[in-house]
Amino acid sequence: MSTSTAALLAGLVLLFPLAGSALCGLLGPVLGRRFVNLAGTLSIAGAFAVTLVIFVEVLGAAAGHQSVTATLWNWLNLGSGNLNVSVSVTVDQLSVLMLLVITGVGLLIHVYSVGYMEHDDGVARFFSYMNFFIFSMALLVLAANLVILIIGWAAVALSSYLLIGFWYERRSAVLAARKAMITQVIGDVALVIAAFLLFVNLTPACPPGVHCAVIRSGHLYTLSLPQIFAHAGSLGTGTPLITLICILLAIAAFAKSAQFPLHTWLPDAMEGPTPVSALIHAATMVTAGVYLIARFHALFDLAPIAAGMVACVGMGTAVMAGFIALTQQDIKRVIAYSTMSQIGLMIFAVGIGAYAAGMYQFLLHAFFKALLFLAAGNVIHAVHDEQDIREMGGIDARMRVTAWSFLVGSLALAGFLFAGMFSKEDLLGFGLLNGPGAPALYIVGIAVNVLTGLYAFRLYGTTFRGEPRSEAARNAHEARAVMLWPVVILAGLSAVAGWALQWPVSFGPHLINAFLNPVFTAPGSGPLAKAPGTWPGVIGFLIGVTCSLIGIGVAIRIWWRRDLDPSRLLARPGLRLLPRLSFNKLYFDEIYDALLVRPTRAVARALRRVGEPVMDSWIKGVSGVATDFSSAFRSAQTGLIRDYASYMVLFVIIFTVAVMVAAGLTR
Amino acid sequence: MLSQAMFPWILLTAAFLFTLGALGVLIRRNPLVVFMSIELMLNAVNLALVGYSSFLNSEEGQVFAFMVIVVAAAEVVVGLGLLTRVFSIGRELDVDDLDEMKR
Amino acid sequence: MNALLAALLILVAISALGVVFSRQTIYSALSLVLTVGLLAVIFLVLNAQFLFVVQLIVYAGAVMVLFVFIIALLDPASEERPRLTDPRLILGVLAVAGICTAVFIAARNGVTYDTSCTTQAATCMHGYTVGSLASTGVSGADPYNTFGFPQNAVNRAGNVQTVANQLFHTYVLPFEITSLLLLVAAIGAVYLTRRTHTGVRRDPRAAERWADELTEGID
Repeated sequence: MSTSTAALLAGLVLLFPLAGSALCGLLGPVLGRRFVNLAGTLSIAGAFAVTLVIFVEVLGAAAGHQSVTATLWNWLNLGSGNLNVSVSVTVDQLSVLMLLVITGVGLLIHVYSVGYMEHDDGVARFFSYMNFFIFSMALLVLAANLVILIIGWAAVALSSYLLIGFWYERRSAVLAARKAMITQVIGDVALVIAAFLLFVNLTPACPPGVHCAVIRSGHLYTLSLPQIFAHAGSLGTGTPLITLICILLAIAAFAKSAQFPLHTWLPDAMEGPTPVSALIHAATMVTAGVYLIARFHALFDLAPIAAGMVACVGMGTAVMAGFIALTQQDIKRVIAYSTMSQIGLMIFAVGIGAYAAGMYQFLLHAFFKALLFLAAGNVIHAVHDEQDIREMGGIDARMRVTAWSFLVGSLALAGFLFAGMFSKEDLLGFGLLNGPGAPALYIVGIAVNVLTGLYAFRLYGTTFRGEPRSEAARNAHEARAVMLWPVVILAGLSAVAGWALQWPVSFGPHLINAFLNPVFTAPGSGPLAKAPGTWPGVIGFLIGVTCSLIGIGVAIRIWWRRDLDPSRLLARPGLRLLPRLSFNKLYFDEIYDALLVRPTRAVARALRRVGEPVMDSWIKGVSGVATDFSSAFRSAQTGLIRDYASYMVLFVIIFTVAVMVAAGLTR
Repeated sequence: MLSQAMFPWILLTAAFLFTLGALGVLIRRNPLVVFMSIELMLNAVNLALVGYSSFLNSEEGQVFAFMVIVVAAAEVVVGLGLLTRVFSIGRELDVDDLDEMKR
Repeated sequence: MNALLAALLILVAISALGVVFSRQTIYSALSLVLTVGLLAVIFLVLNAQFLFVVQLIVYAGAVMVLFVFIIALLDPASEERPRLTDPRLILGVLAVAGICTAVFIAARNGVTYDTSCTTQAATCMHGYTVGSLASTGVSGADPYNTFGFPQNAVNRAGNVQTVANQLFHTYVLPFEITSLLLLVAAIGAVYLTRRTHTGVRRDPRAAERWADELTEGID
């Protein structure tokens, strides 16, 4: 694919959602709901179509020529040796995979939103924000320049803020949006500092055969990603510098992907409408962190300490989130913690160097997580906006299609039969041989499997099975077609995609690996993670699936058939603490509040008490001077013409005498 | 004979009349007297103009003095009309009393 | 002639003092009439015959008559003397003294005209080329010479003709504008003094009504 084609196609992918956003935002209130629905969905459909074209092009490109970097235009040129930023895009397998999910799943969610938002007055604003999000996310994954990536990164955070706080009249929504934004900004700062460090320290590395550009005493002063990756070796292997840069990148990834310790914003983000949760907080934005680490694999390969830290954080978050999900009562929060947990697995995968496996999990997770959210949205809609699962029950008889789809999604999530079975076992298999303390994280990983099975089927059982526990649940009926079809399509994808992409069904390289590995084995990258051999892989797979089944089985017995009561199990002292810890999200919000929020507020209050009088006196001083001046002059306006005449006479005297003297009075 | 020697005296008289008129404007409170002082000032200007015209052998001074007389007449008409109005609505004829233009 | 002129100037100064310092308003008016008349004679002496007549007809004969009429109509009370320490009085006296001194000294030193004038007036012309009196070819027997005063070359064709020549050729635009001015003044006077309701009462509380009346006709 030539650079001009790439530039054109990438430009279109960016242009369609942006235009859709502008149209919906500016003309939507004028032209009405139908226009907004059409414009909002067609723009994403167009973007998806272009993405398919790009995909075909990438597939068809010759090996080794699949990655194309094209420049759309040169934005900032401050001279050689200074900052040069051009709006350039990288079109390769990684970005096209991300784009397929963003535009494809995005399209399904937009269609769903047409039905979900049919009674909401802010629909124009909604589609405008959603389209803008698609644009920002596309910009992020296409960026070939770190500055453009940061712009996309920040725009995504902005879209998230706008959409979480969409129902801005609700105080809880506004607070949640603010919390998300502030946490993300921490990540943004880390990312920008990493950019600074890269800009200042990057010097040409000259592996044999690669052309070096030397400007200004050896420094490169570039923020172009291909150049950064090509010369990353100059930063040294395992040096403090590269480790610091990677840690900063990791912090940015954690903030965006809601990993420990920057994870507290994700459950609160459920205040937004359900399509928002499906798109942003399941399929795409939260995976931007995974994408970041995958894209910067060249750097992470050089900093094993940082990569190891990433893997530990990822797996740790997976366990923590799974633990918390066990006791949550809000259907969307359970799914949110599930997202956190699954992304933890993805982060773990890219942390140990199994980049392709991590992206595989990303792809499948996008399908079944969006499915779960949309189906949950149907349920919420049906029971009149009730989100507490204790008020549900018995819905599977009343909403058959949704229930079956949700079941498919839950199985995919838990990792049995469908999607997740393959992707999760794949990445856990890598954990056998790679990562800090090699099989240790694998063992934690299969514990995560148990937890996943537990909470997924707890959710299904409590929501759908049993007897209806409320009037609303009794009267629930199936959703409309426009909200049902995306759910069904996603269910189909979840069921089939795993099998299809695992072709040939074995435990060696398969389609996704074949597709993605060239990105991660480009010259300059480190070695790939060691894949387990065939037999260790099979055994690992079986153990993993068994653990998932254990989780599922226990869940069924407790929450479906109700012949096992966990409260007796947990009655023993010491264990009684566990449910409370889980339900209160391990008290993270309270800890942060005490450690960070309160001291900051106190400092702000103190500064205000000290500073405000000072600033006020300055400003009042200026205005006071003006006021005093003017009142002094005002006293001259007495209204008496005799006074005015006096002034005239006075100045006439002065003037006359002056002129006469000047002209030589006393000649 | 009308000589250069008399010219400064003409100018002096004109200046004297002018400043005397200004003095009248400043110290008298009756608006009619103020008006008359203003007329005095205008006449002083006329004197100066005609003096210059005579001294410099130019008729332009006389033309300008003619214009001054015309304007003075018009101004007197309007001013006295206003004063009549002021009187007819019962205000005091005292310039210190007519101070509506104050701040 | 100089003696005549000097006497006239002194008389003008005295009658001007009368205008400003009389207790009764009518005395001020009468002093002004005298001043205006004396000034007319001075104009005549200075060879401005046309202005002499105009001054008497317009100023003394119309403007001052109007003044006297109004004084008679309005019957204002006499006012008290200003304090000697009134700052305005001090300022005014300062003005008189200062400006008069300055002007006189400047005039004596030739500041107020072309300083190259050292000879008789006839040869001092700002931009006008005239020879000496002798070269103007005039003598004391010129028919247009009134009272035997020295003739200006400029008045050779007669004062009225000369003034009219300027007025209708060089200065025709100001002339027309002043006629417009007179029209406006006449209209204004008529408007300001019209009766808006039958009988004008002396009403101390009529200030607001007056303001409303004046503005109601104006949009």
